Amino acid sequence: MRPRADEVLNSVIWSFDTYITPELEEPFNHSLALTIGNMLRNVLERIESEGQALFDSNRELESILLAAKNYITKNTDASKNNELKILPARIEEAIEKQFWTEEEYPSLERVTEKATLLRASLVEVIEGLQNAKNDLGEDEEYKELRVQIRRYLKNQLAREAKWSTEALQGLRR
Amino acid sequence: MKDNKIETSDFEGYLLHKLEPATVEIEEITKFERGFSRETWFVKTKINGTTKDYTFRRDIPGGSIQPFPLRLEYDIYDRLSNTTIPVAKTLWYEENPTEFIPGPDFFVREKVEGSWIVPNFDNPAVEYDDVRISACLEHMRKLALIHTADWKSLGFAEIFSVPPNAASCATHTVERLVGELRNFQVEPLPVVTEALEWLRENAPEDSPCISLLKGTNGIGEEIWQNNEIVALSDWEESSLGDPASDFAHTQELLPPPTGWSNGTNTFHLKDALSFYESISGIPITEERLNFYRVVRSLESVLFSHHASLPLIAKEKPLARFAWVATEVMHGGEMGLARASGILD
Repeated sequence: MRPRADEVLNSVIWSFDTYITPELEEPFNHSLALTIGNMLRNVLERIESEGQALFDSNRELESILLAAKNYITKNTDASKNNELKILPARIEEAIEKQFWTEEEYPSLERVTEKATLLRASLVEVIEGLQNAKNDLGEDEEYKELRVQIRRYLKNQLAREAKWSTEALQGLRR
Repeated sequence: MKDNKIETSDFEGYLLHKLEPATVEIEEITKFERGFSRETWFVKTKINGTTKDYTFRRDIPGGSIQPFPLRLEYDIYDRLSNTTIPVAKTLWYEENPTEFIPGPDFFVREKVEGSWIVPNFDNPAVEYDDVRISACLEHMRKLALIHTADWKSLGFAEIFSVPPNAASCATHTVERLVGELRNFQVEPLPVVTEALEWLRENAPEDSPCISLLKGTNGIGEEIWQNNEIVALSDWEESSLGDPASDFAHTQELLPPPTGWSNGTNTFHLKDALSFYESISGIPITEERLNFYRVVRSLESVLFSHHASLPLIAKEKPLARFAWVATEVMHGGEMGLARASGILD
């Protein structure tokens, strides 16, 4: 069990940065080595953080999609936008769809598939709400739902920031 | 040729095959270390005893980071080769790389002597502000040349999407980018969907003209010689639209908020834009410039997402694809989120 993958990768990164990158004199190869070192650190952070981030994201998304489903169900007739009518069923389908069984440890691939389906449903909700803005935009519940969606997007960007170094800033990577 | 490295003998064999001279000597080959989208090779030769320098340009392993074909980049250079806009002259496009240089298509152009570095531009000492002001003014002159070019007669309407009129440049640009993204999008991008509402509602309608746009420009993108730009390079984000867009792409050559001082006066962004307007006749408002800074984030998302394709297909792309598809992507989404109110 030990060393874990993150512990091994930490050693690989240190060795690569210390012994390989400085020895590469050809500018293109040196530049590429900096990118490789940076991406190894990115992967290390993802190993440590991505599972929990996806779990948190999916849980938050399901809650928002349920709120969206309730709101849209109540207001379908208030909007001239017919595309809202189909959304409650599609949201339910996305939430209910199972990508792993109770006996399985969910792989990152399966959890990502679930996240992708939920995010696709969220995109449909955002588009539907944007298109219904003229009819529902002044409704307080509409505004609150849009605020919730933006809060999720902000939280998700913060989760992803854990493994992203700000690109094109600072030293060349 | 081993893997992706092109050896001296590869170039020698290729040029003998292509040009059929009596003799070819390869004196030096250099792979340009900059540029993350395509690779550029400088090849110094003697053809039949006469010195001749070539530049070879092709996609990196994994393809193109930008959703912008190499052939289109060649067509831009080709259309500009006989204009007053300084670019390296195109020589030929190689659609069928021979056994000498296997791999993707490439094109060959004349090498322009110079450097992407402006001496002392990066020196933070105030005494070098004059260097920065001078470089900025030179860049304004070249942007004015591009933006006043007769793109219709040069044939750019045949290769680029044309906005219906000047007032719709911003909307046209946003919808063009969204359309391009839809062509290859592999996963939902809710931040983009949310931000599109802001982009559509805030698209300016006061662009004074439709111009040829360079796209990425500024330090690192042009070739300089004695404080003059002798070749404008890297046209892979070129399009037709509002000239203000190019100022949102300018790297380092616009004054920072504190300005640059030449000893007696401080040179600000408005001074650079006034100078540009005096020679081009095109006004650039800060409102339009700021809007296109947000569009720049959408473009970042576009090419970053495109960079993920060879990774997802498990091809063998250069690690730069991974960097662009992750960290540059996140930066693009953050830019959209800041502008559209997702981030406070």
